[in-house]
Amino acid sequence: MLNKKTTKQGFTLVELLVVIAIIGILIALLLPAVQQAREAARRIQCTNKLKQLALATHNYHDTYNSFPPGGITAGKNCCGGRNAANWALLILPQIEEGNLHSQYNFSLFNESPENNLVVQTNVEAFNCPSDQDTADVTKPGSGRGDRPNYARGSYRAVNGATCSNKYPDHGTSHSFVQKNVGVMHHVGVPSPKSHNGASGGRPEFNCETFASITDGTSNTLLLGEMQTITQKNRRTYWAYTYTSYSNSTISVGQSRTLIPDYKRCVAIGGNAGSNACKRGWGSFHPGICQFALADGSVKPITVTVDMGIRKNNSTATSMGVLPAMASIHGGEVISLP
Amino acid sequence: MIRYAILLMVCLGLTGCDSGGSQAPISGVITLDGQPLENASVTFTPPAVDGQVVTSNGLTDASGKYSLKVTSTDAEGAVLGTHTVTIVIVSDEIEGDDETDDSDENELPEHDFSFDVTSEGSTSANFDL
Repeated sequence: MLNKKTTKQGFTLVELLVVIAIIGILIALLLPAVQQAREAARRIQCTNKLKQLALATHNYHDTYNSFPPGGITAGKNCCGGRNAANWALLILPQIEEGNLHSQYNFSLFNESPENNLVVQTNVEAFNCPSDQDTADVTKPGSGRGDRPNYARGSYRAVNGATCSNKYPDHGTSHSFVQKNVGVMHHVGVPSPKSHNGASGGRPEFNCETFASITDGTSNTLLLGEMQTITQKNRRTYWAYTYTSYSNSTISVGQSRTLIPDYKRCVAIGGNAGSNACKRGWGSFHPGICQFALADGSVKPITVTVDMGIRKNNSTATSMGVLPAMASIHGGEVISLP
Repeated sequence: MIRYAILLMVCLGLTGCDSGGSQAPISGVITLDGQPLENASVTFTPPAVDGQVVTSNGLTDASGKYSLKVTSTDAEGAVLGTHTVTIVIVSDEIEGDDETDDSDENELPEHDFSFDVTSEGSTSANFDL
Protein backbone atom coordinates (compact mmCIF):
# COMPACT_ATOMS: atom_id res chain seq x y z
CA MET A 1 0.00 0.00 0.00
CA LEU A 2 1.51 3.30 -0.97
CA ASN A 3 1.31 6.17 1.41
CA LYS A 4 0.09 9.34 -0.21
CA LYS A 5 2.57 11.51 1.71
CA THR A 6 5.67 9.59 0.57
CA THR A 7 4.71 9.82 -3.12
CA LYS A 8 4.46 13.62 -3.06
CA GLN A 9 6.00 15.04 -6.24
CA GLY A 10 6.92 18.54 -7.48
CA PHE A 11 7.66 21.74 -5.51
CA THR A 12 5.61 23.84 -3.18
CA LEU A 13 4.88 27.47 -4.06
CA VAL A 14 7.29 28.75 -1.38
CA GLU A 15 10.11 26.61 -2.72
CA LEU A 16 9.52 27.90 -6.23
CA LEU A 17 9.45 31.50 -5.04
CA VAL A 18 12.68 31.04 -3.12
CA VAL A 19 14.38 29.54 -6.20
CA ILE A 20 13.15 32.39 -8.39
CA ALA A 21 14.31 34.94 -5.82
CA ILE A 22 17.77 33.38 -5.65
CA ILE A 23 18.03 33.32 -9.44
CA GLY A 24 16.92 36.94 -9.51
CA ILE A 25 19.57 37.94 -7.01
CA LEU A 26 22.27 36.09 -8.93
CA ILE A 27 21.29 37.81 -12.18
CA ALA A 28 21.27 41.16 -10.41
CA LEU A 29 24.78 40.43 -9.20
CA LEU A 30 25.93 39.27 -12.60
CA LEU A 31 24.41 41.93 -14.84
CA PRO A 32 26.68 44.85 -13.82
CA ALA A 33 29.67 42.54 -14.18
CA VAL A 34 28.54 41.62 -17.70
CA GLN A 35 28.04 45.28 -18.59
CA GLN A 36 31.50 46.10 -17.25
CA ALA A 37 33.01 43.27 -19.25
CA ARG A 38 31.29 44.59 -22.38
CA GLU A 39 32.60 48.10 -21.72
CA ALA A 40 36.07 46.69 -21.06
CA ALA A 41 35.93 44.97 -24.45
CA ARG A 42 34.80 48.19 -26.16
CA ARG A 43 37.57 50.10 -24.44
CA ILE A 44 40.20 47.66 -25.69
CA GLN A 45 38.84 48.03 -29.22
CA CYS A 46 38.91 51.81 -28.76
CA THR A 47 42.53 51.65 -27.57
CA ASN A 48 43.47 49.57 -30.58
CA LYS A 49 41.92 52.06 -33.03
CA LEU A 50 43.80 54.90 -31.35
CA LYS A 51 47.03 52.95 -31.70
CA GLN A 52 46.36 52.21 -35.38
CA LEU A 53 45.81 55.93 -36.02
CA ALA A 54 49.05 56.77 -34.20
CA LEU A 55 50.93 54.20 -36.30
CA ALA A 56 49.31 55.62 -39.44
CA THR A 57 50.82 59.03 -38.63
CA HIS A 58 54.21 57.31 -38.32
CA ASN A 59 53.77 55.76 -41.77
CA TYR A 60 52.73 59.17 -43.08
CA HIS A 61 55.97 60.53 -41.59
CA ASP A 62 57.94 57.85 -43.48
CA THR A 63 56.39 59.05 -46.73
CA TYR A 64 56.38 62.83 -46.33
CA ASN A 65 59.16 63.30 -43.73
CA SER A 66 56.81 65.06 -41.35
CA PHE A 67 53.72 64.40 -39.27
CA PRO A 68 50.49 65.50 -40.94
CA PRO A 69 49.30 68.95 -39.90
CA GLY A 70 46.29 68.95 -37.54
CA GLY A 71 44.51 71.00 -40.15
CA ILE A 72 45.28 73.32 -43.05
CA THR A 73 43.55 76.65 -43.26
CA ALA A 74 43.65 79.16 -46.05
CA GLY A 75 44.99 82.43 -44.77
CA LYS A 76 46.24 83.30 -41.36
CA ASN A 77 43.09 83.39 -39.31
CA CYS A 78 41.07 80.30 -38.55
CA CYS A 79 37.65 81.75 -38.89
CA GLY A 80 37.61 84.14 -41.79
CA GLY A 81 39.39 81.88 -44.24
CA ARG A 82 38.34 78.57 -45.67
CA ASN A 83 39.60 75.18 -44.59
CA ALA A 84 41.55 72.56 -46.49
CA ALA A 85 42.43 69.03 -45.38
CA ASN A 86 43.08 67.81 -41.84
CA TRP A 87 45.19 65.03 -40.29
CA ALA A 88 42.44 62.43 -40.60
CA LEU A 89 41.92 63.03 -44.33
CA LEU A 90 45.67 63.00 -44.92
CA ILE A 91 46.31 59.61 -43.26
CA LEU A 92 43.47 57.82 -45.11
CA PRO A 93 45.90 55.85 -47.34
CA GLN A 94 47.75 54.71 -44.20
CA ILE A 95 44.58 53.20 -42.70
CA GLU A 96 43.65 51.35 -45.89
CA GLU A 97 41.10 53.93 -47.00
CA GLY A 98 43.01 54.84 -50.13
CA ASN A 99 39.85 54.83 -52.23
CA LEU A 100 38.29 57.50 -50.05
CA HIS A 101 41.54 59.47 -50.16
CA SER A 102 41.54 59.47 -53.95
CA GLN A 103 37.93 60.71 -54.02
CA TYR A 104 38.82 63.78 -51.93
CA ASN A 105 39.97 66.71 -54.02
CA PHE A 106 42.85 68.25 -52.07
CA SER A 107 42.98 71.30 -54.31
CA LEU A 108 39.47 72.25 -53.21
CA PHE A 109 38.17 73.37 -49.85
CA ASN A 110 36.97 71.15 -47.03
CA GLU A 111 33.48 72.63 -47.41
CA SER A 112 33.37 72.35 -51.23
CA PRO A 113 30.33 70.42 -52.52
CA GLU A 114 32.66 68.14 -54.51
CA ASN A 115 34.12 66.88 -51.23
CA ASN A 116 30.80 66.34 -49.46
CA LEU A 117 30.73 62.63 -50.31
CA VAL A 118 34.03 61.99 -48.55
CA VAL A 119 33.44 64.12 -45.45
CA GLN A 120 30.03 62.51 -45.00
CA THR A 121 31.42 58.97 -45.15
CA ASN A 122 31.43 57.12 -41.87
CA VAL A 123 34.92 55.62 -41.40
CA GLU A 124 34.96 52.93 -38.71
CA ALA A 125 38.63 53.54 -37.93
CA PHE A 126 37.73 56.94 -36.46
CA ASN A 127 34.87 55.66 -34.28
CA CYS A 128 35.38 54.51 -30.70
CA PRO A 129 32.88 51.70 -29.90
CA SER A 130 32.10 53.34 -26.53
CA ASP A 131 31.05 56.55 -28.30
CA GLN A 132 27.38 57.15 -29.10
CA ASP A 133 25.61 57.72 -32.43
CA THR A 134 28.84 57.43 -34.38
CA ALA A 135 26.94 56.69 -37.59
CA ASP A 136 25.29 60.15 -37.54
CA VAL A 137 25.95 62.64 -40.34
CA THR A 138 25.02 66.06 -38.97
CA LYS A 139 25.86 69.75 -39.18
CA PRO A 140 28.62 70.82 -36.77
CA GLY A 141 27.86 73.59 -34.27
CA SER A 142 29.98 76.30 -35.88
CA GLY A 143 31.92 77.25 -38.98
CA ARG A 144 31.18 78.90 -42.28
CA GLY A 145 27.53 79.42 -43.09
CA ASP A 146 27.82 77.19 -46.17
CA ARG A 147 29.28 74.25 -44.24
CA PRO A 148 27.78 70.87 -45.18
CA ASN A 149 26.93 67.98 -42.89
CA TYR A 150 29.85 65.90 -41.65
CA ALA A 151 30.29 62.31 -40.46
CA ARG A 152 31.11 61.68 -36.81
CA GLY A 153 34.38 60.59 -35.25
CA SER A 154 35.77 60.05 -31.76
CA TYR A 155 39.42 61.08 -31.87
CA ARG A 156 41.10 64.46 -32.13
CA ALA A 157 44.70 65.52 -32.73
CA VAL A 158 46.49 67.25 -29.85
CA ASN A 159 47.11 70.83 -30.98
CA GLY A 160 49.17 71.87 -27.97
CA ALA A 161 48.55 73.60 -24.65
CA THR A 162 47.22 77.04 -23.74
CA CYS A 163 46.44 79.08 -20.64
CA SER A 164 44.44 81.81 -22.39
CA ASN A 165 41.73 82.01 -25.03
CA LYS A 166 44.41 81.73 -27.73
CA TYR A 167 44.60 78.37 -29.44
CA PRO A 168 46.96 76.77 -31.94
CA ASP A 169 43.97 76.33 -34.27
CA HIS A 170 43.72 80.13 -34.47
CA GLY A 171 47.19 80.40 -35.90
CA THR A 172 47.98 82.97 -33.28
CA SER A 173 51.50 84.07 -32.56
CA HIS A 174 50.81 84.17 -28.81
CA SER A 175 54.02 83.36 -26.90
CA PHE A 176 52.57 80.63 -24.65
CA VAL A 177 50.92 78.86 -27.59
CA GLN A 178 54.18 79.12 -29.55
CA LYS A 179 56.17 77.56 -26.73
CA ASN A 180 53.65 74.77 -26.07
CA VAL A 181 52.64 73.79 -29.55
CA GLY A 182 51.69 70.12 -30.10
CA VAL A 183 52.63 67.54 -32.72
CA MET A 184 49.62 68.01 -35.00
CA HIS A 185 48.53 71.64 -34.99
CA HIS A 186 46.99 73.74 -37.73
CA VAL A 187 49.16 75.20 -40.45
CA GLY A 188 48.17 77.80 -42.98
CA VAL A 189 48.80 77.96 -46.68
CA PRO A 190 48.11 80.84 -49.04
CA SER A 191 45.94 78.46 -51.03
CA PRO A 192 45.25 74.88 -49.99
CA LYS A 193 47.31 73.16 -52.65
CA SER A 194 50.12 71.44 -50.84
CA HIS A 195 48.74 68.76 -48.60
CA ASN A 196 51.95 67.89 -46.83
CA GLY A 197 52.58 71.47 -45.76
CA ALA A 198 55.82 71.57 -47.73
CA SER A 199 55.17 74.92 -49.31
CA GLY A 200 53.61 77.98 -47.81
CA GLY A 201 52.69 77.63 -44.19
CA ARG A 202 51.99 80.17 -41.54
CA PRO A 203 55.17 81.97 -40.69
CA GLU A 204 54.89 80.74 -37.12
CA PHE A 205 53.69 77.20 -37.76
CA ASN A 206 55.02 74.38 -39.90
CA CYS A 207 54.51 70.64 -39.83
CA GLU A 208 56.37 68.84 -37.08
CA THR A 209 58.83 65.97 -37.44
CA PHE A 210 60.22 63.33 -35.08
CA ALA A 211 63.29 65.54 -34.79
CA SER A 212 61.27 68.54 -33.63
CA ILE A 213 59.76 66.59 -30.71
CA THR A 214 62.64 67.41 -28.39
CA ASP A 215 60.65 66.49 -25.26
CA GLY A 216 60.78 62.89 -26.51
CA THR A 217 58.09 60.97 -28.32
CA SER A 218 57.18 58.96 -25.20
CA ASN A 219 56.50 62.23 -23.32
CA THR A 220 54.36 63.89 -25.98
CA LEU A 221 50.66 63.50 -26.73
CA LEU A 222 49.56 62.84 -30.30
CA LEU A 223 45.84 61.98 -30.33
CA GLY A 224 43.08 61.79 -27.76
CA GLU A 225 39.44 60.93 -27.32
CA MET A 226 36.75 63.60 -27.50
CA GLN A 227 33.18 62.50 -26.92
CA THR A 228 30.37 64.34 -25.17
CA ILE A 229 26.99 63.23 -23.90
CA THR A 230 25.42 66.68 -24.34
CA GLN A 231 25.51 69.27 -27.17
CA LYS A 232 25.91 66.72 -29.92
CA ASN A 233 26.93 69.25 -32.56
CA ARG A 234 30.10 69.93 -30.53
CA ARG A 235 31.36 66.38 -30.75
CA THR A 236 34.13 65.18 -33.01
CA TYR A 237 33.70 65.23 -36.80
CA TRP A 238 36.62 63.35 -38.29
CA ALA A 239 36.87 65.21 -41.61
CA TYR A 240 35.95 68.71 -40.40
CA THR A 241 39.05 70.91 -40.36
CA TYR A 242 37.46 74.04 -38.87
CA THR A 243 38.96 75.00 -35.46
CA SER A 244 38.35 72.28 -32.91
CA TYR A 245 36.22 69.55 -34.48
CA SER A 246 39.14 67.30 -35.30
CA ASN A 247 41.75 69.06 -33.16
CA SER A 248 41.74 69.95 -29.48
CA THR A 249 43.98 71.78 -27.04
CA ILE A 250 44.94 71.04 -23.43
CA SER A 251 43.87 73.97 -21.22
CA VAL A 252 46.17 74.57 -18.24
CA GLY A 253 44.42 74.35 -14.86
CA GLN A 254 41.07 73.30 -16.31
CA SER A 255 40.07 69.80 -15.22
CA ARG A 256 36.57 70.57 -16.50
CA THR A 257 37.82 70.16 -20.07
CA LEU A 258 38.27 66.41 -19.46
CA ILE A 259 34.59 65.76 -18.61
CA PRO A 260 32.64 63.99 -21.41
CA ASP A 261 29.77 66.45 -20.89
CA TYR A 262 30.01 69.72 -22.85
CA LYS A 263 27.15 71.47 -21.07
CA ARG A 264 28.47 70.69 -17.59
CA CYS A 265 31.92 71.91 -18.66
CA VAL A 266 30.37 75.23 -19.74
CA ALA A 267 28.25 75.43 -16.56
CA ILE A 268 31.29 74.95 -14.31
CA GLY A 269 32.88 77.93 -16.02
CA GLY A 270 36.49 78.98 -16.17
CA ASN A 271 39.05 80.77 -18.26
CA ALA A 272 38.02 81.29 -21.91
CA GLY A 273 34.45 80.20 -21.08
CA SER A 274 32.93 77.75 -23.53
CA ASN A 275 35.88 78.02 -25.93
CA ALA A 276 37.90 75.80 -23.58
CA CYS A 277 35.10 73.20 -23.59
CA LYS A 278 34.87 73.26 -27.41
CA ARG A 279 38.55 72.33 -27.40
CA GLY A 280 38.09 69.78 -24.64
CA TRP A 281 38.45 66.05 -24.26
CA GLY A 282 36.36 63.26 -22.84
CA SER A 283 35.41 59.64 -23.20
CA PHE A 284 32.64 57.35 -22.03
CA HIS A 285 35.09 54.95 -20.36
CA PRO A 286 34.41 55.53 -16.65
CA GLY A 287 36.99 57.81 -15.04
CA ILE A 288 39.52 57.91 -17.86
CA CYS A 289 40.24 59.40 -21.26
CA GLN A 290 42.68 57.65 -23.58
CA PHE A 291 45.54 59.40 -25.34
CA ALA A 292 47.98 58.13 -27.94
CA LEU A 293 51.55 59.32 -27.47
CA ALA A 294 53.89 60.25 -30.31
CA ASP A 295 55.80 56.98 -29.84
CA GLY A 296 52.65 55.05 -30.81
CA SER A 297 51.68 53.88 -27.32
CA VAL A 298 48.21 54.48 -25.88
CA LYS A 299 47.79 55.52 -22.25
CA PRO A 300 44.63 55.83 -20.16
CA ILE A 301 44.66 59.24 -18.45
CA THR A 302 42.47 59.65 -15.35
CA VAL A 303 40.12 62.65 -15.37
CA THR A 304 41.78 63.79 -12.13
CA VAL A 305 45.20 64.06 -13.81
CA ASP A 306 47.28 67.08 -12.75
CA MET A 307 46.27 69.83 -15.20
CA GLY A 308 48.56 72.43 -13.61
CA ILE A 309 47.65 75.88 -12.32
CA ARG A 310 47.14 78.88 -14.56
CA LYS A 311 48.64 82.22 -13.46
CA ASN A 312 47.62 84.51 -16.29
CA ASN A 313 47.19 84.49 -20.07
CA SER A 314 50.86 83.86 -20.75
CA THR A 315 52.15 82.04 -17.67
CA ALA A 316 51.35 78.93 -15.70
CA THR A 317 52.10 78.69 -11.97
CA SER A 318 52.57 74.98 -12.62
CA MET A 319 52.30 73.12 -15.91
CA GLY A 320 50.97 69.92 -14.37
CA VAL A 321 51.26 66.62 -16.21
CA LEU A 322 48.88 66.73 -19.17
CA PRO A 323 49.62 70.28 -20.44
CA ALA A 324 53.35 69.52 -20.19
CA MET A 325 52.83 66.41 -22.29
CA ALA A 326 50.94 68.31 -24.97
CA SER A 327 53.97 70.35 -26.04
CA ILE A 328 56.70 69.00 -28.30
CA HIS A 329 59.47 71.29 -27.06
CA GLY A 330 58.32 72.70 -23.72
CA GLY A 331 61.38 71.29 -21.97
CA GLU A 332 59.44 70.10 -18.92
CA VAL A 333 60.54 67.17 -16.80
CA ILE A 334 57.49 65.02 -16.30
CA SER A 335 56.55 61.44 -15.67
CA LEU A 336 53.22 59.81 -16.30
CA PRO A 337 51.34 58.82 -13.16
CA MET B 1 15.45 25.61 6.78
CA ILE B 2 18.73 25.32 4.95
CA ARG B 3 17.41 27.11 1.88
CA TYR B 4 16.32 30.06 4.02
CA ALA B 5 19.76 30.16 5.59
CA ILE B 6 21.31 30.28 2.11
CA LEU B 7 18.96 33.07 1.09
CA LEU B 8 19.92 35.02 4.20
CA MET B 9 23.62 34.57 3.45
CA VAL B 10 23.16 35.79 -0.13
CA CYS B 11 21.34 38.86 1.16
CA LEU B 12 24.08 39.57 3.68
CA GLY B 13 26.68 39.19 0.94
CA LEU B 14 24.92 41.91 -1.05
CA THR B 15 25.38 44.55 1.63
CA GLY B 16 28.80 45.96 0.90
CA CYS B 17 30.88 48.57 2.59
CA ASP B 18 30.25 52.26 2.03
CA SER B 19 33.42 54.24 1.45
CA GLY B 20 33.25 57.66 3.07
CA GLY B 21 34.51 60.59 0.96
CA SER B 22 37.22 62.77 2.44
CA GLN B 23 35.84 66.08 1.27
CA ALA B 24 34.24 69.01 3.07
CA PRO B 25 31.68 71.61 1.94
CA ILE B 26 33.23 74.97 1.06
CA SER B 27 31.49 78.22 0.19
CA GLY B 28 32.30 81.91 0.40
CA VAL B 29 32.17 85.30 -1.28
CA ILE B 30 34.51 86.79 -3.91
CA THR B 31 34.93 90.56 -3.94
CA LEU B 32 36.88 92.91 -6.19
CA ASP B 33 37.91 96.08 -4.35
CA GLY B 34 35.23 95.33 -1.77
CA GLN B 35 32.44 94.91 -4.37
CA PRO B 36 30.87 91.46 -4.94
CA LEU B 37 32.20 89.91 -8.16
CA GLU B 38 29.67 88.18 -10.39
CA ASN B 39 30.43 85.39 -12.90
CA ALA B 40 33.83 84.63 -11.44
CA SER B 41 35.08 81.05 -11.64
CA VAL B 42 36.84 79.86 -8.49
CA THR B 43 39.14 76.83 -8.74
CA PHE B 44 40.60 75.03 -5.72
CA THR B 45 43.65 72.95 -6.62
CA PRO B 46 45.20 70.67 -3.99
CA PRO B 47 48.83 69.53 -4.28
CA ALA B 48 49.41 66.69 -6.74
CA VAL B 49 49.64 63.18 -5.34
CA ASP B 50 51.13 60.71 -7.85
CA GLY B 51 50.25 63.10 -10.67
CA GLN B 52 46.60 63.20 -9.58
CA VAL B 53 44.76 66.36 -8.53
CA VAL B 54 41.12 66.43 -7.44
CA THR B 55 40.14 70.02 -8.20
CA SER B 56 36.90 71.76 -7.19
CA ASN B 57 35.10 74.58 -8.94
CA GLY B 58 32.55 77.22 -8.06
CA LEU B 59 30.87 80.05 -9.98
CA THR B 60 29.83 83.28 -8.22
CA ASP B 61 26.29 84.67 -8.41
CA ALA B 62 25.27 88.34 -8.39
CA SER B 63 26.13 88.68 -4.70
CA GLY B 64 29.58 87.15 -5.26
CA LYS B 65 28.66 83.91 -3.49
CA TYR B 66 29.99 80.55 -4.62
CA SER B 67 30.01 77.00 -3.35
CA LEU B 68 32.42 74.34 -4.49
CA LYS B 69 31.76 71.11 -6.35
CA VAL B 70 34.37 68.50 -7.22
CA THR B 71 35.08 68.96 -10.94
CA SER B 72 35.30 65.30 -11.91
CA THR B 73 32.41 63.87 -9.86
CA ASP B 74 30.07 66.86 -9.36
CA ALA B 75 30.00 66.06 -5.59
CA GLU B 76 29.66 68.91 -3.07
CA GLY B 77 32.80 70.37 -1.52
CA ALA B 78 36.54 70.03 -1.90
CA VAL B 79 39.03 67.36 -0.81
CA LEU B 80 40.93 68.00 2.42
CA GLY B 81 44.30 69.74 2.27
CA THR B 82 45.90 73.07 1.38
CA HIS B 83 44.52 74.33 -1.93
CA THR B 84 45.84 76.92 -4.34
CA VAL B 85 42.94 79.21 -5.22
CA THR B 86 42.68 80.73 -8.68
CA ILE B 87 39.93 83.11 -9.74
CA VAL B 88 39.10 84.12 -13.33
CA ILE B 89 36.28 86.04 -14.94
CA VAL B 90 34.25 83.83 -17.25
CA SER B 91 34.07 85.67 -20.54
CA ASP B 92 30.67 86.12 -22.13
CA GLU B 93 29.32 83.40 -24.33
CA ILE B 94 30.17 84.08 -27.94
CA GLU B 95 26.98 83.97 -29.97
CA GLY B 96 26.78 83.03 -33.60
CA ASP B 97 28.59 80.67 -35.85
CA ASP B 98 32.18 81.79 -35.72
CA GLU B 99 34.70 81.49 -32.95
CA THR B 100 36.50 84.63 -33.97
CA ASP B 101 37.11 85.92 -30.47
CA ASP B 102 40.79 86.71 -30.46
CA SER B 103 40.67 89.57 -27.99
CA ASP B 104 42.40 89.62 -24.64
CA GLU B 105 40.17 88.87 -21.71
CA ASN B 106 39.49 91.22 -18.86
CA GLU B 107 42.18 89.94 -16.52
CA LEU B 108 41.73 90.11 -12.77
CA PRO B 109 44.61 91.38 -10.64
CA GLU B 110 47.22 88.71 -10.03
CA HIS B 111 46.65 86.85 -6.82
CA ASP B 112 48.34 84.21 -4.72
CA PHE B 113 45.61 82.75 -2.52
CA SER B 114 45.66 79.48 -0.66
CA PHE B 115 43.05 77.87 1.59
CA ASP B 116 43.13 75.04 4.13
CA VAL B 117 40.20 72.67 3.70
CA THR B 118 39.57 70.90 7.00
CA SER B 119 37.00 68.20 7.74
CA GLU B 120 34.54 70.76 9.18
CA GLY B 121 34.42 72.64 5.86
CA SER B 122 33.85 76.37 5.69
CA THR B 123 31.16 78.86 4.71
CA SER B 124 33.53 81.83 4.82
CA ALA B 125 36.18 81.01 2.22
CA ASN B 126 36.15 84.67 1.17
CA PHE B 127 38.71 86.29 -1.12
CA ASP B 128 39.15 89.96 -1.99
CA LEU B 129 40.99 90.86 -5.16
